Amino acid sequence: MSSNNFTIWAISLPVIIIVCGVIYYYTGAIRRRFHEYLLYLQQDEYSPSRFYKWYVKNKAFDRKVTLITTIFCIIICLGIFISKKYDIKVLQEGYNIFGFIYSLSILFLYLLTVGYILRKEKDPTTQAKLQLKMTPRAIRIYSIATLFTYVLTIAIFPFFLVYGIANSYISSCFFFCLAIIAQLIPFFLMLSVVLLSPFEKFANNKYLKEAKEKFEKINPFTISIVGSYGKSTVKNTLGEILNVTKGHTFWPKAGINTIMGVTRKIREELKESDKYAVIEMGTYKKGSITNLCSLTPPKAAILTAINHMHLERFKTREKIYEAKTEVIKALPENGILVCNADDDFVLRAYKEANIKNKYLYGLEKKDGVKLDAYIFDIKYTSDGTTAKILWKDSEYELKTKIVGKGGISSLLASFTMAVALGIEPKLVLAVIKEIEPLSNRLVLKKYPNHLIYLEDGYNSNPLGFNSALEVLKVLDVKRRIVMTPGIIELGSEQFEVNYNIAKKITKICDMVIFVGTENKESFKKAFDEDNFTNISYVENRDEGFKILTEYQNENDAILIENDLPDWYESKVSF
Amino acid sequence: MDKKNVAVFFGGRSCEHEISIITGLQLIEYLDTNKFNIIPVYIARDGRWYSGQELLNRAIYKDFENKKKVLNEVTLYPYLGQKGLTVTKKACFFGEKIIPVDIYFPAFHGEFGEDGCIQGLFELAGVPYVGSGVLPSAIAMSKNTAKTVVSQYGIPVLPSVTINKELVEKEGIEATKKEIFANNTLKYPVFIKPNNLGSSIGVSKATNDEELLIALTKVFKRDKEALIEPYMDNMFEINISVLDTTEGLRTSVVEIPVTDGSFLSYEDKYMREGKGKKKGGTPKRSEGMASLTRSINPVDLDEKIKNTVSEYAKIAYKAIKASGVGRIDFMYDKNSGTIYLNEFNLIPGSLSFYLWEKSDPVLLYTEELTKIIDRAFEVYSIKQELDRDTGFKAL
Repeated sequence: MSSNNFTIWAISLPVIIIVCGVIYYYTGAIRRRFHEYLLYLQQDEYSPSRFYKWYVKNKAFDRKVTLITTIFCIIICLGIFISKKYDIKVLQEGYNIFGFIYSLSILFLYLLTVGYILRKEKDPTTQAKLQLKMTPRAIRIYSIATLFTYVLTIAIFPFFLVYGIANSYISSCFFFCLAIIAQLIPFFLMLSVVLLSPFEKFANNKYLKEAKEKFEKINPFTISIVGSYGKSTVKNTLGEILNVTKGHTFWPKAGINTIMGVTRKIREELKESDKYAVIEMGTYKKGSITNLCSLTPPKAAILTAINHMHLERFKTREKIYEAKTEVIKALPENGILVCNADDDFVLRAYKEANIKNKYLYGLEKKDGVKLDAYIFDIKYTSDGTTAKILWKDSEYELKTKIVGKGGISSLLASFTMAVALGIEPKLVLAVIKEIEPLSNRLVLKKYPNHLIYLEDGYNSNPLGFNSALEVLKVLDVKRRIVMTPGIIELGSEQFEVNYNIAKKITKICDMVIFVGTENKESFKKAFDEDNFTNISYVENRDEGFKILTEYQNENDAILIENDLPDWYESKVSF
Repeated sequence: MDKKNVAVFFGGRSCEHEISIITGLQLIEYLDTNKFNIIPVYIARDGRWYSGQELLNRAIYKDFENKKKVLNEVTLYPYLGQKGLTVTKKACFFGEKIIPVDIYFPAFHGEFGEDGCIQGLFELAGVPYVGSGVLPSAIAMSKNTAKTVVSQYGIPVLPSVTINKELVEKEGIEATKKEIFANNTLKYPVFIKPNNLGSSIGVSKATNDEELLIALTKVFKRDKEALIEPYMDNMFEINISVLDTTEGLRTSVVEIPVTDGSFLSYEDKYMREGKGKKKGGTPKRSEGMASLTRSINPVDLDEKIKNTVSEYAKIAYKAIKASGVGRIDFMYDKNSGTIYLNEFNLIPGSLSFYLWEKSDPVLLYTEELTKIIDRAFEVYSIKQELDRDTGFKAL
């Protein structure tokens, strides 16, 4: 190799390595920003319209990159101004090696600064409340969106080659282009969702078809669980009971209740040996239940409640009623229907249902209503709940680790269905005794020095919140503390429901840590009226826990009620 | 002398998955690296096999799904001529296709790993492996079968009844109770445990019908058979390890585990940190059976009891044709002075090294492992001598 070639290589190689390193550093930082927006898009169920509403409401446009860009443009313009004033040729227009090196240095400094700032932001794949899951769909959306970004960035690059980045006023536009691209990231994500929707629809239909065929072939005895609350607890309890006493039972764990969620679980987990299936069905819109019943045709169903949860989507309770009673239409005439008599709308559905084997369960006796399963003498302690169940004129003792009216109502629903299926009541109750409450569904945790936590972070509803407060009230403790953002998605009833809950809190609790701003007004009104002053208002759950950790003491009981997803918490900053 | 390649297997599909990880990683630490090259093989909960040195870092198991891409996915095909593990999915483009293995060392607990399943695969592949074969593993896993076998050799066992889950499902509670208390063999209080699981998972005592039902449902969550025995209120447990070596069978000193309650539960065995030592000091985190509080070779225990336990252990080990290192758990009834065999553990937690370290002569863990590997090669060569090619001409 000649000495000239060697010199070129000796200079070029480190430069190439540095260039690659800087680009890698910067692109990693941009990937972090993509993930941050993708987190909220994912929590919005990939709905571009909901994501856009969140974006506008929270003013989630980029500030940091824009600010850095502005600073750099000022530096560049200052540099050009000084070079013109003092005639420093190397910094002026024109393309020479020193000007090129100067431009490149400014660019590198910019990329490194942006990269450093963005990399300090939390990684949503590991550090968010509901972490970003890079599912195949998320990866597809991310890939298309980043493609747009890189194509655009590469497209403006020749501009740099012609004008240099820092050698002319006009070249500072290059930096503004980078800032604009940063602002466009959420829009690229939305555009990707839209562009991919035909593919997603095709893929979903294929998976749905496979799941349906598999389910038809195995044909387990299917019980659908529908209702405004308690579905997961009922599903989990009934699943456990059937699995132990009747045979292999399939039930998708946790809160899986959408058509694609259930589809995936059927494809991944349903086994040939499964004799029973317990399917939780979420009511997201009219027809959701019908679609789920088409995938997993039920022979039995439990209807837990029809209240004002998701009133925001359905607008009226009547519409919620129509949507939820789709499950009754899917039942065969000789199917089994178990209904919660404590809910007026469910009671109405029971009366209107043309099903041979119908059963009512409840915690409250009503005139003219004959309960098949009735629970009474309920007592809560720090070890759980004891109660009595009346079934077919026989009394049975219930002991369980589950607490709260909502949880007990769910247990009674599972009990009723299990005995309706022919399982002996004592056997059912023996299984129930060992069942652990689902995570964050009013779980009672005892710590040293008689410190008690009631963790009820999952998706609160009015009945659940009131049940939790009832349990909190009867615990043998010195102080009672609540941390909550209130209840959301109640449409026109949201203010009143939260106000009433806050009124109850002032009578029971010694301190409140209120999270976020969603229901601040309704809570504040109640607190002011009752002169309740021991309140801390915090931006998010993490801040709330910091205060709690300092304040809590032995003999305290602390209720953590309703943990909102990240996109509801007030502080977003990009 | 060339080093032998030892593939150490751990994890598995049983509910003792995490205990197995502890046992596996612990034994890897103590294998003699002058004699062996170690290939860690982790069987994930879905049954897939993974290999790679990253498996030696415990942090990988906390978020395995996201971290497994650095590992090779491997398998052993069930036919003769295998030189080792076949890599079915490489972590790195330049990785090997075959990982050479000279001997397979299963360190599983519970189903699919300790009950003859994986041993069956090794037999089909015709490869040498450490520990007991298919038959003794299957016998030992089923408590009532093991009791039936050893009782034929004069070893006392508690009377028991095995109840199948189907009986409860199809015939109901009354029929089940009738079956349990037929012939007056049993009466309350009774002790209920899963027939086919280890580590004292799902064990409980019942003094009445309600508790019996609850105990049965606890068992049927994890096993299809429940074993019911009389509850002994005045007894203590005595455990002993048995080692099958090229020089013959050997028993260790005995141990008396110390419990919080009247019987040794899963929590006692694995969740409480005792003062068990390994080489180099007290473990900082749950180290399985090694860290359980125990009295090893207690001086105040009658020598006659120790000798009887040792004798019974050897007879029992031979009766089921076990190999490798195992632990046999006995119960001493203080009322009658009878020693009953309770259960076998053919891949015991921590391979009972803590017992061998206190035995006479002392056998340190590294040496213990070398001995059982040597024995495994010996057993394999005996099998190789068998003529399997000559068969009846039927076609």
